[in-house]
Amino acid sequence: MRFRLSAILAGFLVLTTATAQAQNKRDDKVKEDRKNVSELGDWNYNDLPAGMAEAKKTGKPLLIVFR
Amino acid sequence: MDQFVCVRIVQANALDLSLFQFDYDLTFAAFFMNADKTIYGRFGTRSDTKDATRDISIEGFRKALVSALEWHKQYPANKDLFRDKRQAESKHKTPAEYPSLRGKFKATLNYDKNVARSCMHCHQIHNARQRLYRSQRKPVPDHIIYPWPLPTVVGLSLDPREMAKVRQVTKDSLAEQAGFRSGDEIQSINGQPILSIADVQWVLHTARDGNKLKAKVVRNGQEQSLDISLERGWRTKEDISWRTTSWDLRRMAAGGLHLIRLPDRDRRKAKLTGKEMALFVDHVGQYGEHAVAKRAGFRHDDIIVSFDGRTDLMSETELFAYVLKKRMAGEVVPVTLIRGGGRLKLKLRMQ
Repeated sequence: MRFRLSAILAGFLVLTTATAQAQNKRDDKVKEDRKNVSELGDWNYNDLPAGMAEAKKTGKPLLIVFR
Repeated sequence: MDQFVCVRIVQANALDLSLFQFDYDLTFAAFFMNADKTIYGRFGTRSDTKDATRDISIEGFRKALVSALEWHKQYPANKDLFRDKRQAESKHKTPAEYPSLRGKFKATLNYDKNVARSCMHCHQIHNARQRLYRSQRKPVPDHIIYPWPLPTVVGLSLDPREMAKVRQVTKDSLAEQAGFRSGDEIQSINGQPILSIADVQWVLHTARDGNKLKAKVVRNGQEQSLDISLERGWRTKEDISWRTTSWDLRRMAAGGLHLIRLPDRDRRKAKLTGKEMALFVDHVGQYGEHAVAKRAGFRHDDIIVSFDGRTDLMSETELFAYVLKKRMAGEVVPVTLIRGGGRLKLKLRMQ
């Protein structure tokens, strides 16, 4: 019984560690994406009000990409 | 591109649903609009689970950009042309107003902690719409089951390298009846200027059974008018199984099973003709509400030949549509399947 409980706990730990690692990877990717796109300087990253304000000011049309 | 103000949106949290109406199953979608929130057009089309680029191209995107710029130069004299590119205000102003999403996401992303988890995905909006009907025990209407129909549903295959140029017209289709021919360049539908396949999909998305679509096309340099009559049930020819949102439909309608049409060679082995229902269980969900079929005894490799007494559900999409319209959450349906050469009857609870 004790062995069984230990095995379940070990399995749970492996699963939660793997899930946490996958989560961290995804977080890193999202942050990396923001850094890369922001560095290009051509895009308003995730900031629609800023894009709208710039379009109003410049008279340019907007290209809004969901990705 | 430098003639545009470019905005990249990476999440659906607090999205203005009265403005950003697009195919929420896409992984790439674009809007061309102006600071008055007038939409010139949309871009982004998909019909395959894995291949996100089959229905779009850089050439097509470039042509759409050029057209949008041209229309912007003519603005506001042409303002009325774009009036129907947006629908009336949505009852739910943001995704968070849908019951299944309420309280789950903040308006902005949390870059300091679990940023990926703080991000609402676009497809969750469409899932929330489907779930709303299910939770109210109402049949899900066709325009929710089959959103953003591809032009192929009316028989038009459009060239992804162009804005909306007809590559092929399906024999005996609604488009053929309307008089479309390959090479036709669609200029407008119901008065709306068209700059992409997504623009054609927008018109189809907002159309209903019995509507007549008035298309203007250019053929050999001459403008022609063509009328497409949308007969009852025209949308139901659409395949929705590629959509991300189908994952949740598998939970609702199939207890977590992923079903594919049994290939012809396997039909012969199972002594089934091509006209008989035969849905192969390609995957059995393993956890939570996606494991309802597993707990009911379904296995990988099973072949479903009857579902709730129906033997005419020839695809996963048809099975989803049947359940979403006719069977409510909590109901139990009998299912007959072939396993190891023999027939077996199981019961499956709808969700």
